[in-house]
Amino acid sequence: MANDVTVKSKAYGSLSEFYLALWAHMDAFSDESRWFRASATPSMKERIAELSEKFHTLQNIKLDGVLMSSVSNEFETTLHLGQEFMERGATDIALRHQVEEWKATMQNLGLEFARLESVS
Amino acid sequence: MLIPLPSLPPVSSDYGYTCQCWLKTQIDRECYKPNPWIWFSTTFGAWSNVDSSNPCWLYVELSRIVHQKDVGNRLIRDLKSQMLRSIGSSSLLTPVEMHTLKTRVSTAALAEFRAEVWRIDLNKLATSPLRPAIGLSAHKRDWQTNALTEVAKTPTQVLQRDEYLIKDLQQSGATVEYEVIIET
Repeated sequence: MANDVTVKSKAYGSLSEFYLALWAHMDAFSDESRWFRASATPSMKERIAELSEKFHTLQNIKLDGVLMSSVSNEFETTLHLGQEFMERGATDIALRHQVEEWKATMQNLGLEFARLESVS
Repeated sequence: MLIPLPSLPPVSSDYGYTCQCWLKTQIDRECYKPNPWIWFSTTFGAWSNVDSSNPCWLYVELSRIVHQKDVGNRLIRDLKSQMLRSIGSSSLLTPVEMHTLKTRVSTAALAEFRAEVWRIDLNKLATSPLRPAIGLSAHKRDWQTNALTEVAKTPTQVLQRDEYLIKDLQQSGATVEYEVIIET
């Protein structure tokens, strides 16, 4: 039982870290949270490497198939949106809104999994 | 008879101002010992900057959120996310310490997000034996370059007119280099 709780807690922790890394990747494109950063922001290349690493961690945990499929889609969408934002973010208002909504969704998932980790 | 009033004196730009969240300060000190980075401007109401780089706006907004118990506000979610990221990526914490601090952040009361306005005496910093004696102007250029270097990593970010980044502000021990001038 205790072991089961630990496994669950670890999975929630890894999911939280993954989604918050997705949020941070998108957040780094804007000025909004800059004053909250108390250390260096990783470069785009470093952030993508971190995301890939966290994605592989989740693959190794062997999550439920539906959840893993969702994780995979969100990973791909974030990378795609990040690239698009780099290319057209300065001029495409609709894209900026889309990115803001996506960021908020990734952040909510990250915070919710962190909450679940803390109570499991 | 005319009453002679003094002419308007210039505003000093020898102070730095920043708005910090109490809980985040505690977390940053554990994650980035000894000196977490601090962003600041040389005016409290840095209205030429975007809101998120203006200590006055940050203070008003965070103070309002805490007083009005606006739990789901974006600023609170951003602060929480940033703290959880800092804990998760810190090389100074053990896995148990990480778990403890993450739980602390996830379950923190809104009151712990209390806004603090810090004032930094830039002349004191420039003449401190902790730093090279290159003068205030040169130090200011360095702090602005620090900010620019960070901003330039992401082409979509923009350095604001009154924006600086200090990486070695002493925040604890015998030589604390800031004073909290407003806390509510």
